Amino acid sequence: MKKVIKNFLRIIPQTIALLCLSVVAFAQTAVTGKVTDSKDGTPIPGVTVQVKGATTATRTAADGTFKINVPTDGVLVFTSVGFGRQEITVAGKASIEVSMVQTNQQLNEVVVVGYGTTRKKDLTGAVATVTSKDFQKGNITTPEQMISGKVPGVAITSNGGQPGSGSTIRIRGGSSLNASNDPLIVIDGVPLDQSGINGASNPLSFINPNDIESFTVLKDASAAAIYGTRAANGVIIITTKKGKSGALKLNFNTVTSIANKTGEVDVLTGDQVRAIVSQMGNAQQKAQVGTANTNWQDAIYHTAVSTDNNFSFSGGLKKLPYRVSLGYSYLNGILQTDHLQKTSLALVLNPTFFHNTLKVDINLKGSMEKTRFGNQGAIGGAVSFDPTQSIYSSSKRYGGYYEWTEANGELILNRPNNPVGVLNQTVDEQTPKRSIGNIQFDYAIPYVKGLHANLNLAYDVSKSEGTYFVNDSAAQAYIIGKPGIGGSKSSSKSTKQNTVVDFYLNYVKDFAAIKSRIDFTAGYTYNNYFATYYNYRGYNAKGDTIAGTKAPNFPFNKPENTVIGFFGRLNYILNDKYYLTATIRRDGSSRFGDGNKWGTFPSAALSWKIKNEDFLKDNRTISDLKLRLGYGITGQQDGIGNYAFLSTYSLSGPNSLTQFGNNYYYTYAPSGFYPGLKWEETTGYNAGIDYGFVNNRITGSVDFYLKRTKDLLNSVSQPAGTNFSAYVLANVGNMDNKGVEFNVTAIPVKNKNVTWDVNFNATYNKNVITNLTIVPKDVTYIGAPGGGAAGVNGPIQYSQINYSKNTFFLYHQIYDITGKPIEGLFEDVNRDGIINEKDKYLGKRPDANLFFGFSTNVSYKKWNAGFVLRANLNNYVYNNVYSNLGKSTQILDAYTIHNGSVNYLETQFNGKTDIQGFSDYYLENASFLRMDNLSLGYNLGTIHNTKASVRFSANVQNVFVITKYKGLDPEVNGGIDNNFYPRPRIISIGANIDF
Amino acid sequence: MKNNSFKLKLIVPILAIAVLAGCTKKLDLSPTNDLTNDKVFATPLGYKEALAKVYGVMLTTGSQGAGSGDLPSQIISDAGNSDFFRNLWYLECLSTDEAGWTYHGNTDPIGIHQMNWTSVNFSVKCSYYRSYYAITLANNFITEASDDNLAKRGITGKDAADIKVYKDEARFIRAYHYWILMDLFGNPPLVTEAVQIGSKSFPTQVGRTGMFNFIESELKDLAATLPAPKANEYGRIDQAGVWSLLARLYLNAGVYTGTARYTDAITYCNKVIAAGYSLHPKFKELMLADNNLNTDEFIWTAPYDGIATQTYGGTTFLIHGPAAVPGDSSGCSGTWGCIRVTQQFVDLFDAADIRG
Repeated sequence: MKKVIKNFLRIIPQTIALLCLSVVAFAQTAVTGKVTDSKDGTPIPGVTVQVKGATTATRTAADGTFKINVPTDGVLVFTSVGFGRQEITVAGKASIEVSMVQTNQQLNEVVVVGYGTTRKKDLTGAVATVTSKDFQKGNITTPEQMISGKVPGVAITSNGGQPGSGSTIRIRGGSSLNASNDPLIVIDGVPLDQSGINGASNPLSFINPNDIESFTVLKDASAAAIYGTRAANGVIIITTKKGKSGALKLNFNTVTSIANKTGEVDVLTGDQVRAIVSQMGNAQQKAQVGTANTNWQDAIYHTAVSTDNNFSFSGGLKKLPYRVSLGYSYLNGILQTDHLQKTSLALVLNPTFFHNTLKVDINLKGSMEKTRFGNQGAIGGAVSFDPTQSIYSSSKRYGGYYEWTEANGELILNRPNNPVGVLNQTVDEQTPKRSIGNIQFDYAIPYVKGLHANLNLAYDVSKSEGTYFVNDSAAQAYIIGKPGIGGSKSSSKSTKQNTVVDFYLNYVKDFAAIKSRIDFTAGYTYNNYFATYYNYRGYNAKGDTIAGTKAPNFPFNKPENTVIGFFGRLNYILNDKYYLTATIRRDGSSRFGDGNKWGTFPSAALSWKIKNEDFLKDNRTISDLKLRLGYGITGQQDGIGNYAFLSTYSLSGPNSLTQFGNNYYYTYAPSGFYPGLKWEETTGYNAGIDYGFVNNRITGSVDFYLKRTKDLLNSVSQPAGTNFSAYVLANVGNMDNKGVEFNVTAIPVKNKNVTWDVNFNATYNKNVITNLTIVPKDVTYIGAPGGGAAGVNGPIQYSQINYSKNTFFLYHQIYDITGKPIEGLFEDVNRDGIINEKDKYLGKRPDANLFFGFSTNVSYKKWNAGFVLRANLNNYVYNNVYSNLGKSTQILDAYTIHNGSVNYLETQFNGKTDIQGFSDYYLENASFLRMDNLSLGYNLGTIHNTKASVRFSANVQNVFVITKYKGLDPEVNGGIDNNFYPRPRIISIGANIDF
Repeated sequence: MKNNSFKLKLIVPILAIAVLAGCTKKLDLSPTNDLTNDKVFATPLGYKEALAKVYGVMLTTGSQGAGSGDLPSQIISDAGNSDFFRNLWYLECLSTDEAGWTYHGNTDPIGIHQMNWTSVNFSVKCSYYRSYYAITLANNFITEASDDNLAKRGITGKDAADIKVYKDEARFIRAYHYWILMDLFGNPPLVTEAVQIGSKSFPTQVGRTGMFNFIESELKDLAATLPAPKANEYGRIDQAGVWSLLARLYLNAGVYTGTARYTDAITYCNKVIAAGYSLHPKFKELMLADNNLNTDEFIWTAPYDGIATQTYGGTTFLIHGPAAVPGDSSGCSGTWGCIRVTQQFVDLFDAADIRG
């Protein structure tokens, strides 16, 4: 290696000397000229004008003009992104007019697919790419949010307003009930494990969004099948920015933002609660009621100011392209005490050796977070704590916070705690660190033109340590009558070491004689996921052991799993019209038993570039037309336990012993198991059209898909006597997702001063379960239970055949003539005189079936502005705040006073029947239109006398939501709205300096 | 330069091949803390601890203290209610005039007393699945204690002889639960160690007579191999226990098979009496905390313990269950107030009888 570098050192001065010589060797002449667009004659600024074979170069000015010194017999090369390269021989001319022709930029664009790249025009599958220029902007703390609303078929819902919190990503609906519905995420060739990082709200938050170059989404099975047993929910490939040879470029980017809550959960005021107490309360409650009007939600939320700063520099060090990026952000949550500090460093080196035959990409990314998680128990507490009490008490006990106490000042058992106290007296701090890195060798094997060997060695390591502390005087961990031994103190620690090795050969050859091209890849991949979770005992605030607790049985646990795959891909292109892609993957997984470890996942796709047929070739209107057909089989092993196929024995606790003679024996109980456990398998079909009109000013695609999942895991009863558990998760079910995706991008205006582009996408997805039982379509089976709601005894959702997953299962509410619901009165659907399960109905789904995204961007001279809209239709949300807090028994229980939902004022429910929670009155259509992002930018251009160019930007995120839903936010993962960390509205301003 | 490129040319494929070869073993992984059967049954103590669970299914509801559950939530949502004895008592006693149930807000097990129950009542489900859980554990134990497995694990001599006794005890526990199932449900399917656990096979029914014959042949076999009366450890089964179960089986044989076997019942009762068993003179002493000292009336015991063997069923349930019996007279922490005697039961007693 040392020698290699020395060689470089030797070459470089010579090269520079040669270059200098070329400049002075010939007679020079000054040439001026103007560059225009061939289409409409508008001048094109920023075109690189270079003397061929020399370093002399310039750029065209805003009016398209240029001036350059050229040897009299020289050749000028004109290049600009989006236009075809032109070479003009000067031949003594003093003035040159150049008309440049727009190219279909996609032609030579390369897209990352699994284990390699392909030319975008060669794509046969449903693959979407979003590059940095189209990312959502503003205070983006987690990468996936940058493509929210940008790709049809990809629904990204943030999990709440916590800084850095993750998102639920669903590609084409998700294909599982009991395993994972999350797509596989691959960062620079490293497939991430989905189990997350302890102490981090979201594993993707470790990736600095500013380092990301592009997202590629492999949506259909023909594209994703090369990832085999982990591809059924689609694959998202994230590529980070690379080094670029050339002069040093520095970039500094800073964003400061202010976040505020957009609203509140509507609850009663102190006065309203006082009126209810005086009307209905018992003597004890009348004595307890306070005089304050406290808005507890105001008390726990605040305006949060955050900053995000990034500094990067890139260039070529001698011949070594590099990029270094440093990020620092400090993010405050709108929930008080909640904050996240993040430092990240990324280093990229892209050296080449042996006359570019060996290319090496080195990516190292490291990130450290320091988080304090606000106690989210305060969110529900603030909604339901008595508003007639003030925040602080006159006493210093319990940290000075008002708490429910006896006359003697002792805490009363089982009362809610002051939410502000809960927040401030919990110190939950975590310091997760993560590093992902890889080194990739791409070696052009000599003597065989077109044959490359690729080796990728990668790691993903993380370490997380945390502490949790509640002081002794805090009411939440106080032991009544025993001051001094309360509180809580515990620590946590975990590490992960994941390794990836890929090796593959790639061979590309054009056969001009038969107008064919083949691109063949075959390889091997090894992925190992190894974690260590340490178990620690919990202590009280003083650090003493707590009575009734014992040390953990095991000091640590080390779960591990491995995937080994062999894969191949063949692209065959005939005459630039007919494309065939076939892939195969054979995967072995440690998560399954003998006989089920290995699976084969084939795929095939065909496409026909109709545009290149003679009858369309010269058509001026239709600039692109391509038909795609794809088929593939993918698996889903994520979300399945590492050892679930094994029966394992666990030793009993100390209170479950069996006495033999005079001794007590611990007992060994085996777990229920399913030795035939295997991955869920999804067969996908896709048919799509890519189109372009008017010189590709309008482009887009339409895709139709069907995903058939079989071997769906469901909890099924076992014939008694044949297993250690009466129910085990078994591969029995079937589910379909079908849908349509539509995407159009248009550039209605593009001229010298104004560019306006618009993107619209729409998705329809229908999810239907077709079987869940061993005996297919067993009519006696009531379905797999889904989500439950607070205050409701039993699940309110079921997954049942012929319905979507987690469909709501509720009673028909009966209303009086004024339209007011009658408490506990439901329609007796089967008219048997009894209200029971048979009167509930399935119908409404929590997941939307129509999704829309709309983005637009206008730039006028130095200004640009844009926004992103997103809409979901027909998603239903169960308003658990209304059902749980909208009744008088909530406000006045037997002993004390709470706050209730304003819904109580409408219903006057007393809460004395426990089945009211199963009413469809609480189920609301939560269709919505949200403006995710509104942005404005100003490009100051190059600052006087410096090389620095500056851009300013202003953004608003979560601008508005239009919905009929009566709760705080209609976008609720899972469809049950309760104690949700509100998504804030964020206003940010930023500056970006290049020099 | 040339040298270097040559080296690198070699290094890449060599590295790749080395990694390839080293990795395929990684597909066979096992958990860190939970044990697979080979680790559990590696020692004689492991066998005894597994046998302790075969017995323990009747003592506790789960392995992690009172309220924990062996049966999944789909069978019963409150695992503390899933005790063997408690559910047997519901089915046997609540369905008669002997006892009533107080909690009317609770549809289960009041339905048993109201003679209105179906397969979804938790007492019915719990009785069925708990007995089959015990049978499954017993079958598994019998397989793990096979001669082949003992030889494979290098267990010989006295250890091997002890484990053979454990195996016979597991067979007895299995026969006992089949008797319970045959009595309660009539025609339960027969699953033996021949059925591989987790094999998805559907067990077959053998008819009530077929089941009777299976239990009888197992017990007769065990009557010859289990330890002599009073020769086994407290809490474990011996020959007298086997004879007692045979006597009970024959006593009801007319119901099970259509052929009365009263003579056989007498024969086996006599064997038990001859082995030194009689009714204990002071009934009250049977109920005291040191009742483990009783050796004349108890033939086979299911030992509960307030610390080591905790459950919301068994004797805990019998002592706490009766309504209006205060803690200071039952000697425990209070009453759950759920079971009562019926009016019809009280009417059986003479008005002058102080027990009524």
